[in-house]
Amino acid sequence: MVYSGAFKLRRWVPGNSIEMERNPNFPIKPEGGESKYVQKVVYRFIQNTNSLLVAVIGGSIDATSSVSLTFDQGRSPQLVRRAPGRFDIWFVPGAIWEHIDINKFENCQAVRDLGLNDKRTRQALLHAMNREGLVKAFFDGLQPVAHTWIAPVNPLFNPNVRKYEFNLKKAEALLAEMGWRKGPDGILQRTVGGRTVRFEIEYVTTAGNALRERTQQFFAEDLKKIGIAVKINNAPSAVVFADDYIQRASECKWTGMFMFAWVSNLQEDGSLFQYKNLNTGAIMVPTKENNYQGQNIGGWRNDEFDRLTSQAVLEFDENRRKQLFARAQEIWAEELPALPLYFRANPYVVRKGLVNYVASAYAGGYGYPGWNAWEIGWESRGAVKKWDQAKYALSTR
Amino acid sequence: MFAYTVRRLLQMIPLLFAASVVIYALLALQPGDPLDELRRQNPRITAEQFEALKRAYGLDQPLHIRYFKWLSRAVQGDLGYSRTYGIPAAEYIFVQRLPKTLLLSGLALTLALVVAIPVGVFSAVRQYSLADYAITFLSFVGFSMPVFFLGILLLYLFAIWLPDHIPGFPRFPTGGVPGVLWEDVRSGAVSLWAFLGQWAWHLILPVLALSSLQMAEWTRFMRASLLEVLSQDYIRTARAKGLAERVVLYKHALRNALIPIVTLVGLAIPGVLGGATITETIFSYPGMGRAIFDALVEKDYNVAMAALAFLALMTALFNLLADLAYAVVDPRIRYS
Repeated sequence: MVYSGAFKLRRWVPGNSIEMERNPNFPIKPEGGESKYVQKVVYRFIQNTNSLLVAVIGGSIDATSSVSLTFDQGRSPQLVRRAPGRFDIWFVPGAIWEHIDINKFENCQAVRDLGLNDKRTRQALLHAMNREGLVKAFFDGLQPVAHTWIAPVNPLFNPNVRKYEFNLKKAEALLAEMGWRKGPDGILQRTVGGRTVRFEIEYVTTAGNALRERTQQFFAEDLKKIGIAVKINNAPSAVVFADDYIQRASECKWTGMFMFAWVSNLQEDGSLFQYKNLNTGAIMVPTKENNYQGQNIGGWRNDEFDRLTSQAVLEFDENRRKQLFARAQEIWAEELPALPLYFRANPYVVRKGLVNYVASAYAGGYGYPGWNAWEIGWESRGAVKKWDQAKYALSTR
Repeated sequence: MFAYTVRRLLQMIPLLFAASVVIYALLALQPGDPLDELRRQNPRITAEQFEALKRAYGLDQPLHIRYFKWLSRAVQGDLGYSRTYGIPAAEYIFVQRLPKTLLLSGLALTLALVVAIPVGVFSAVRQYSLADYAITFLSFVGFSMPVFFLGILLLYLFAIWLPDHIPGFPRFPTGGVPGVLWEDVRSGAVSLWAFLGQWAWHLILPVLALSSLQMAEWTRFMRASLLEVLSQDYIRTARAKGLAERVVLYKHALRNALIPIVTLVGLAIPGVLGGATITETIFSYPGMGRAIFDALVEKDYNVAMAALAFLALMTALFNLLADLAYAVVDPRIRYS
């Protein structure tokens, strides 16, 4: 076999483990010489996460891979109690963005009735959702609230966008501005074109995903407080992510809120919310005309956003690119084409003294959480600590 | 007896054919197909590309055509390739997985049998004694303890809690199989004893977990069956003619009491070959149960078909063997 990586395969025990050893021909040498760093890596295959937890606690594992313990196991008392002095538990904010997309196609009657194509309705919805309460209740705050679609770990992230705190008063004021009044059943209603409509909004997510279903219940309770009724309409992911569903908001297949996650990329290009990519001319909103291509499924259109993001990807100057994306995020947060919830975090465990085994949000394919395999080593054998995970992740401590 | 055996073997052919049709149909009729994964990983795949893939995998053909294509290759010994592992399905199942399963489940079965028969006999002979009550209690505990709980409990106790609390207590491995291969023994890198020792060390906990249920079950059966036999007239006659209690118990009573146990063991053997999915999962043990489960989830049809068809064959074979064993242990039964 031909190897270009820092380690090469030495042995494979089918169904049990893979053993890798340092590749002497690897061109990048770690500080102080590679002899001071890890020479051999053994991957063990453990399919049951409870068994993995026992293996970690029992000390037979030095570090977990990028897909390992579940979020709840990562903060379980059995693990956390034993951690001090033995291993670190890190929660790396990931690039997976949980959010609620909103149908903004004016041709759908439900969208016009509820005013989902008006930014004030979307702002009111977000003000009425207690996202801080959600991440505290479900994740001990280890998966922070998101305010834009770009992950905080991305260099293009703009922290200074408009933020929507949990504030029912503000939500109610915005809705009153739109003509909504409490009806006899406690649900908001208003008159649209001579008809009286109730504020009952469809809420779709992937059935069987317990966390999303709990989140849905949590927000439904919040929305009820300001008089918004939620009509839950979940289906298995194979159904809701099928092309004839998620891509057909323009045909009113789903008419309200759709909660799911996008996996974002380090090479952010804004295509999730572009109407038109000005560089290629491609329309990013899926409709019949473009054969339902594109990921701007809710049908948002903001020409300024398109111009900024299309220009940014052509910009070689990093600061200039950041400025363009910063402005695009300001517009996005003001207009709220989708409701940002949080970025998922991945837990991983690493033994004390093992340095430079750091996880990054945009690495993690093929099980290895970072990108710098040649630098991992034991401090006791002279490996030099170059990367500090504490700067890039949260811990249970 | 010979004619009977041949007749039964011939009857197995239509039986296995029917079984393979059912298995193939069930696999094909479950929701989704092998291309789902590809489609999910690449949501932008076009309908034309998808159709081309379907044609390439032969999935565009009707079910019965696919089945007979599979059958005609299978009877020639070609069970196809594993889509997940890229090796022949037969190698994956029969070389990598089956021997490990035979080891784990075979040991567990043997342990269960070796413990259950003497303990059951002891319990029956001393009926209603304190020891009998203790054994009955323990066997009900073993009977009702789910293996996924017992497995994790054993792991936690022997790999973490006991070594942490008792100095010098050996730390058991947290699942898996040893990282040494048979090639290492042949090349002299690892001695045979070290190899066997490591395997034994890794097998103790899973074998214990896996055998507990059958151990408890067979102890109860052995006790009940022997008690029934001991109340029979011919036992009283044997005692009356002055035979030693040992002879009465082991020569007259035990042989008859073993007949239901033979049935149970005969029926348990295909289960041994099928592996123990839950135990294997908890102890990260690469056996047949896990292989079949993974193949079903990953829609690795060739592997699932090879394993399940093999199990059907083994079930039929061991049913026959159990029937023949009756004739051996019970002289009253004769086949013609």
